[in-house]
Amino acid sequence: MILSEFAWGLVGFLLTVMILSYLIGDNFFFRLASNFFIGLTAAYLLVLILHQIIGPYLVLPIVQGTWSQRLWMVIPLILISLILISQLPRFSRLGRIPLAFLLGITAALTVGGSVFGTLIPQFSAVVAAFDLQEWFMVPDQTWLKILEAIVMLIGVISTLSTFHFGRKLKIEDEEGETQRPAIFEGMSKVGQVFIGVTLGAIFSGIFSSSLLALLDRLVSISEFMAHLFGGS
Amino acid sequence: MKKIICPVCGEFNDPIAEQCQACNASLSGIDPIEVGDETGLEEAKLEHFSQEENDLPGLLHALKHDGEMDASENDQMDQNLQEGSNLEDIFAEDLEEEEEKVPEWLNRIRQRASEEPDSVGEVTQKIATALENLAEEKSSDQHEDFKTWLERVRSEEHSAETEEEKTQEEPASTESEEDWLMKIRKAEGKFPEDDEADQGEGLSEDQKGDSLLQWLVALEEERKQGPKGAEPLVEPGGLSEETRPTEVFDETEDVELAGGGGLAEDSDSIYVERPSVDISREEQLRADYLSAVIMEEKKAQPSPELKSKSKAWAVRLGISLILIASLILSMFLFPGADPGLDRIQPHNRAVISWLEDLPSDASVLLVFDYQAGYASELTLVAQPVIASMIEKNVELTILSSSPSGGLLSGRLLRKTPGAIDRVVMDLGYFPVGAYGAFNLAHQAQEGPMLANLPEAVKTLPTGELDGILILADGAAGARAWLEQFSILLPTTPMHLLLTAQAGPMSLPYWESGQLAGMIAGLSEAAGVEAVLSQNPVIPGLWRAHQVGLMFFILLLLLAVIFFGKKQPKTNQEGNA
Repeated sequence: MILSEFAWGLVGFLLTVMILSYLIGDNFFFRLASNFFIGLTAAYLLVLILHQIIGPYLVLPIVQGTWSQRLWMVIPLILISLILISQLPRFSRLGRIPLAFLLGITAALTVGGSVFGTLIPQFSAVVAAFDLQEWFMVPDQTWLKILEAIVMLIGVISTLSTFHFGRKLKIEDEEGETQRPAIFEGMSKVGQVFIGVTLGAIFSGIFSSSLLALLDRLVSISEFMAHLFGGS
Repeated sequence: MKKIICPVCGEFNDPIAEQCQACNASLSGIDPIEVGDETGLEEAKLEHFSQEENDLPGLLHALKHDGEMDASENDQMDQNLQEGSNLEDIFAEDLEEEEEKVPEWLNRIRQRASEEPDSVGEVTQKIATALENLAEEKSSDQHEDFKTWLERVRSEEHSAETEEEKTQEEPASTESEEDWLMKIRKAEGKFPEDDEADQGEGLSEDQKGDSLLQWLVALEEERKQGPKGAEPLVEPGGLSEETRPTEVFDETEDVELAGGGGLAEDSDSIYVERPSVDISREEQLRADYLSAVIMEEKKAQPSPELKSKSKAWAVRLGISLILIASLILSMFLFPGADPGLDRIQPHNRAVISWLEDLPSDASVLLVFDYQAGYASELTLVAQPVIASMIEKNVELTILSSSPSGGLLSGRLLRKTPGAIDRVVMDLGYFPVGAYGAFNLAHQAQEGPMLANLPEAVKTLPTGELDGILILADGAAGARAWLEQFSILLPTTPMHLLLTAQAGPMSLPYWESGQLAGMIAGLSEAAGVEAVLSQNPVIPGLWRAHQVGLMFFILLLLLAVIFFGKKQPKTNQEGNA
């Protein structure tokens, strides 16, 4: 085993044991390992942003660009300056300008992406499930296709009903002020089943992913031990 | 006009004086007080106490009734005293009135506590019991005390009348000063040494502060007053603060006798008077109740949660050790389990088909959007796919939207021989996936650009991409790239390589046709690897993975069986 491999293997082994020591409760070794990872990540992120964002997107155009390109760089420089100045309590309001700029762009991208990248295509998929040609394309699977389309439609409507928080138009008594219309109330019960199944699937996926992370650590530790004591 | 009163001799001094002009005692630290003419002040004091002396029994009775007794009751009391009526009858009536004045909420608590002993907390029960004990003790002790006390008051009243006549005839003398100061002490409960024995004997143990309520009140007062040493500076002849019989006047705290905050002079001792606080009996009871609750909450009690926590770590450790042991054993005992080819799903088969149809020297974009913790799972998922692309000499362009993406991409590609050499472009790190996707897709689309902008540092390779592979550990990260690329590059086939947790939320995108294919988790990767790879590695972990999942399911079932029933019971208790 090469010395560097041994050293890194030992570091990995020790850090794994330190993190796993949380099983007996919060302790010094767990905090040491956690702080080590947090510090390492923060330092790495700082270097990464300087090297891959600030350098090529801000410094390089100012140093090597033409005058017109440099002029464009005034905008990000002003926004950066406003963010920095806003750290002073007296000028804290100035920070709203760059934040509003960022928020507006993010909202535009997210809303645009959600509507055109998720909502409309998913809606089209639900509608397409009722295409008669699709149903009768494979004769053996016709009923399966119909069932699938119906279940999909019920799932969509009932799940949306679960997140409907409106109230009745005509309020008969005090309880009516907080009650949803009966049709939404009934559909939401069905929707809860769909949501429960989805969350269960995600939960099992989280278990599976976590288990694989543990398996990976066990494999790497056993390999390190085998190298250490086996001498290979 | 402000003056400083000497704490030793009582002489009035200038406010700037540092020593007493009569006895040279130090005046530092003593605040000047507002006084009028010295003679006038003394006369006013004397007059004040002369008036009170005339109605001293009435005053004391008023003090007992918290200042709420009206004038007619006072007159009746005076008449009763003068006629020598039965004192026990009077105080029996007073006690009945006192009970009537008990607030409604306290009555309810008492009633409920008597009917349902378990319905109230321990603190409330203690307080209710203490209040009842106090009322009973007062009815017996105070009668005896008041007998001796009234006799003494009458004798003092008689002597005070004679002294008053002398005072009116003669100017204020040193003897008269001492006399009114003695009266202040009597009124405040600071009896001289002669009376100490009498008063002390008349007190029961509860009156000295042994009952819970009085003890709490005394404790609260002590806390408010600060250090004990601040009160009686010198007490050679008087009673100490703890033993003086203030409990006899426990209902008279709202009466200000000598003007709070000043200094009272005596030849033998010096007292710093407490500032008087006007509180009603109900307020006092509420304060007592609050104090009792606070004390009870602050009291160190054995916590059942701590006990359970102390055992919890042992249970956690035991379960984890069993899990680890069973995983290691299953890895060694069943190293080559067959995951089965029937696990290949339609969306997995779509990926395989795309790889088979991929032309040589094709260009593929790899997006790394996962954290280091999921590297092992995504390595198992992506490695057979990347190996297949390398066999076809595919050109790889990589970028990452997670900070560690650059390192993880290198780690993954190094595991596949020749993969690093096929990387033609590394676009680096994009902090926000949606920004990066929009920026790259917009440039590749060659849409309208602003004039004279700086040249883009990171651009996609020229020409159309043959595919985009997104490696993500969560559905949200994958969706950010997917939404932007599906809008701006709709003809480019996109595939997702995901962890198991991201699979369920991403599958609808394949159903809707936005995705060309996807592989999520170990179970799907096992089928794909069986088709694509010559030396599969997943079977070595397959049995251990299954054992671990079964272990988790068993734990969940046990938790539901043993701990699931407790929740509704707790809710019922809470509702009750």
